[in-house]
Amino acid sequence: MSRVGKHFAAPLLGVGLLLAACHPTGAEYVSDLDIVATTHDATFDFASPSTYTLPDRVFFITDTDPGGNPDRLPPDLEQLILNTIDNEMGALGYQKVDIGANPDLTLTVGALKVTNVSYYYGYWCSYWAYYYPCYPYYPPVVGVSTYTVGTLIIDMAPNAVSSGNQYRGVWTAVIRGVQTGSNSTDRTRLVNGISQAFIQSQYLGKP
Amino acid sequence: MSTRRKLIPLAVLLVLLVGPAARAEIPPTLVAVSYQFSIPIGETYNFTPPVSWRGIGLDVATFIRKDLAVGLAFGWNVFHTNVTSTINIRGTDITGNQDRTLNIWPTLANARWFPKISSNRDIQPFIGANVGGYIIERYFAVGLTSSTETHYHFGLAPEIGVFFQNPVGAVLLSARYNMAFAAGGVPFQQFLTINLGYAWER
Repeated sequence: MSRVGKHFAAPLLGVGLLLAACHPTGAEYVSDLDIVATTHDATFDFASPSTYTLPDRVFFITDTDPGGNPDRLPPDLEQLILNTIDNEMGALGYQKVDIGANPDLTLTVGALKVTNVSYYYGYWCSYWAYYYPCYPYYPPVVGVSTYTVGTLIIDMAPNAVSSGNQYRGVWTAVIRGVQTGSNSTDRTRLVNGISQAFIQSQYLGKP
Repeated sequence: MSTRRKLIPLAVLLVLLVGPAARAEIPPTLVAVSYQFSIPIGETYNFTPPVSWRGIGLDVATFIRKDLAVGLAFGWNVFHTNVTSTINIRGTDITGNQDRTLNIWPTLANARWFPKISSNRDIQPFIGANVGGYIIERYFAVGLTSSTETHYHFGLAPEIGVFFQNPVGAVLLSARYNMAFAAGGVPFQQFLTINLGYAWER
């Protein structure tokens, strides 16, 4: 083989690096960050209960006002969440009754909202940065990015094994995602998330 | 004196005759750069099923015999998939968009045997055996949560290939079956790499 071949090295290496540069990246859309997680008590027979009850309000789980009344979700969002759960439970063969009618199952719904804030400071460094430290700009250049993560938590507990005001949960669903600020988009994602929680819980329902 | 006078021309003649031969004995070094695509197998397939189109390799080899070369092989292979599905982690079913990436950097020592199939060696097949390590970085993300773990795996890789020689070098086509043994809780990884590259002598 001739030494002339070495002239091909640089272009071939360049092509290779170009291909390698097509490195996969992460999430492209905010909905790519949505997750639905469910867990259950494998010893519980979900086919035996027939009735359930569901509160008519959804509260925020927060510690900003301990002992006070927790904030509620906006009424339209509450109704959307509760109606979606009712539809799913009805489709599984469970019948909704009032809390006074001694239901077999009690469902509770709560919401969490966490705002994440990131700060970025600007610094300048001179040619002599090896000898002298870098300094923040004056006035300091601060970049701030925030995003809010909303989480809906649905719990299911059988009344038969509950005592007093303590309930032993047998099914929990967590629907988590970043709020987009678009009400219609977030409502759609919320409904899809609740539905997915029931879809992936094949053990639920009356036979 | 007369003997010495006879020896000098003889030595000159010997140098002239043996010199080129001795020069030919200096083992030539072969350098090859290749594009690689890889087919995942076994646990590698279970984690990232799609064929990887991202890969690059660098081979350096020297001939210790006319039909035997030893060398080093370096590479970078990237397997990736983005899938929305339900997975079970410690009893919890989680549905979400998952990013799964395997970055694999093989660093292998090898020996290659070049059987003579023709006098001019225009088409030169070879069989090789690679042994060494694979640095494997596993990235998994679902929702806002991600994890990355990197381990060094001992590995083996049998190889078969062919050089198509031309006046300026040689086109290299080969297949390497990579086997990286389990390490750090990451199971046995396997993938078949197809290399298409160019080789030249230094």
